[in-house]
Amino acid sequence: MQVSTAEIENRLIDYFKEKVDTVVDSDTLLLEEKVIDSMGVIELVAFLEETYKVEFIDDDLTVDNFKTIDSIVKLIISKPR
Amino acid sequence: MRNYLIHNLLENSAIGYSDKVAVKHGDRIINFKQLLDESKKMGPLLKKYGVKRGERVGILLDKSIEQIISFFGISFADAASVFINPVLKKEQVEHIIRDCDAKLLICTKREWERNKMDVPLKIIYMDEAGKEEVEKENDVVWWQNVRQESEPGEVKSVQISDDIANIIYTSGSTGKPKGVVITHRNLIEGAEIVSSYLEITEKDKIISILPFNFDYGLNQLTTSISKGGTLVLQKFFLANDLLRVIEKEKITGLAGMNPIWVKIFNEKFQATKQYDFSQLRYITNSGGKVPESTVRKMQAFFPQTKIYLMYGLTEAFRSTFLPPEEIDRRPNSIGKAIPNVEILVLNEKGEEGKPGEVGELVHRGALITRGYWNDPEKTEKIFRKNPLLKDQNHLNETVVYSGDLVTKDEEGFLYYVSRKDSMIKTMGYRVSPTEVEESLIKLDGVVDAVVFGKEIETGDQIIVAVIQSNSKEGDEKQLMAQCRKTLPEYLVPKEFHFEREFPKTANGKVDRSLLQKKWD
Repeated sequence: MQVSTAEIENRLIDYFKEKVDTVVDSDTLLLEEKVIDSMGVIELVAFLEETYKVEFIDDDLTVDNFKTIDSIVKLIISKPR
Repeated sequence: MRNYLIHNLLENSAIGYSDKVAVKHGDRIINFKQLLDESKKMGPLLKKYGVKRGERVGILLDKSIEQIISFFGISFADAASVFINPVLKKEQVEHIIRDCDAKLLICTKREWERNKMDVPLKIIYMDEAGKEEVEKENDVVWWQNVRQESEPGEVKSVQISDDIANIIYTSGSTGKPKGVVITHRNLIEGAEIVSSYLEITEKDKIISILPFNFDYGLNQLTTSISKGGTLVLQKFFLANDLLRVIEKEKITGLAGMNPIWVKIFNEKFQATKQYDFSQLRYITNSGGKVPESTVRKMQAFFPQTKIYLMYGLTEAFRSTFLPPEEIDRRPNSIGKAIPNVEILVLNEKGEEGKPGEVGELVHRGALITRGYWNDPEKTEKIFRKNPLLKDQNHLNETVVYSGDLVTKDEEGFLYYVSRKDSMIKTMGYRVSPTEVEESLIKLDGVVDAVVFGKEIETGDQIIVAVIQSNSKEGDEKQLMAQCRKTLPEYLVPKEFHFEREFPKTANGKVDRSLLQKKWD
C-alpha cells in the first residue's frame, strides 16, 4: 500500500484529534505533552499495523520511535510492506 | 544521629555516602551531598516565602531530581509535601490543591499553564530561570535563580516524628481522591522495615518507575536514600525501554505491579533478545495480586532474581510479604506480616477466623497512618479500635480495616480472595472475581481480565468478564466453551466484552471501576 508521508502525517493528526481530543502537529512531543501515555500506545500500535499493513517487532517499540508524529512516520516508512 | 524526620535520612546518608550518586535520571546525576545542599536551599526558600509549620506544599512535576529536592526541602521547612501526578487533568489537580488547602505549588511553567486555577497559590517554577529570583506581581519564584545565588541554609526543625510529612492522594480516573495523611514516623519505619526484608544496602541500584504519589513508589525513594543506594528514575512507557535500562544500568531492584508484568509478557511484543539480568537481585510486586500464571512467567523470565510478592494498602503502607523461597510452593500467597506488624483475619462476627475461613484483613502495629485529610467519616470507617482488646477496651489502639478478604492456611500464610464489596453473588454461590480472572488469564489470547457482578431482573447477579486481547474481535462463544472445560457453571462468565487495552488510573493500576461503569 503506497502512501505518502504527508498522508500518514495527516491521518495521525486526525487520529489524535479523535482519540484524545488534542490538536497536534508533526513536531509535538507526544509523550511529554501527554498526548499518548503508556495506555494509548498499544492501541496506536494496533491501529498503525492495521492501517498500513506493517508488522512491528519489539525493537521498534521504543520511546524514541514514538516521540513525535514525524518519528512515527519514519518508522512506518522503514517497514517492509 | 537518629532518624526522626525524613530529612534526617538524607542528612545521615550524606555523611556516609557524600560523593555517591543518590539519584540518576537519564544523563543527569546528583550525589548525596549535592542533594542535601539543594534541599537545604529549598527549605529556607520556602520559609522565606511564607510557608508555615504544617502547611501543605504541592509538588506537580514529572519524574525528576527536582521532585526529590522538593520532597526533602519541604521537610526542612517543617511543612507537608503533596505529590500531584502530572497525568491528572486540571479538575483533579485543583481538587487536590483545594482539599488539602495547599499554600504553595512547586511545578514548571508549562505545568502551571496547563493547570492554571483560580486558587490563591504561591508558585515556584523549577525549570527555567526568570529575570530575577521573585516576581512579586505574579507571586512566582524561579528556582534556577535561587539555586545559583544562594547557599545551603542551616535549618532548625521544630517538628517531631508524629508530625505530618506527606499527604498521599491516589485516584481513579473519575471521582474525588482522598488524602491519606502520612507522618515522618510512617515513612521512616516504612523505609527501615522494607529495607530489612528486601536486604537493601548501599550496593543497590533501584529503578523507580512508580509515581511518588503512590506509597509503594514513595517507599522506594525513602528506602534508597536511607541505605545510601542509587535511585534510577525512569518513565515507564514501553516494556523494551525498561528492560534495556535494567540491563544497561545494572539495576539490582525493580518494583512493579500487574499492569507492568502484563506489558512485559504481552505475547505480541515478546522480547526476542536475551537480556542479561544477572545484576537484578530482586523484584517486588504490590498494588494488586499477580495471577499464578504470571508469577511462573516472571520466574522464567528473571531466573536469577528473587521475587517478593507483597500486599499493602496506602492507609497502612505495607502489610505482608512472601519470602522468595516460598514462591514455588505458594505462588498465590501474599505471605505473612512484615516485621513489627500483626495481621488479623476477622470473620463476620469480628473474631479471628480458623485456617481456611474467609475474613477481612486487619492491619495492626507499625505503619498505620493518621487517617484521611478532611474526611472524618471515612476515617472512622477504616481506622477503628482494636476489636480484640476485650475487657480493657477503654485503652486506645487503632487498627486498619483493609476491606479486603483473605484466608490463612495452617502455617499462617495468607491468600487474597477479593475486595469485600466485590464478591459476586450468583446462582447461590459467593464468587471471588479474582478466581474467575485468573482462570481467564490462563486462556489463549487473553492478555488480562476484569470480572464483576451485574444484577439481573431476578435480583441475582451474573458474572461479566471484560477481556483485554490483542485480536480485533473476541470470540465470546469460544471463550465460554473454554471456560466450561475447566470451570463449574457458576464460575463461567455469562457476558464477555473486549478491549484492546484497559484504562489505567494515574498510578498505573487497571481502572476497574471505569470498566465496570462502561459495561454494567
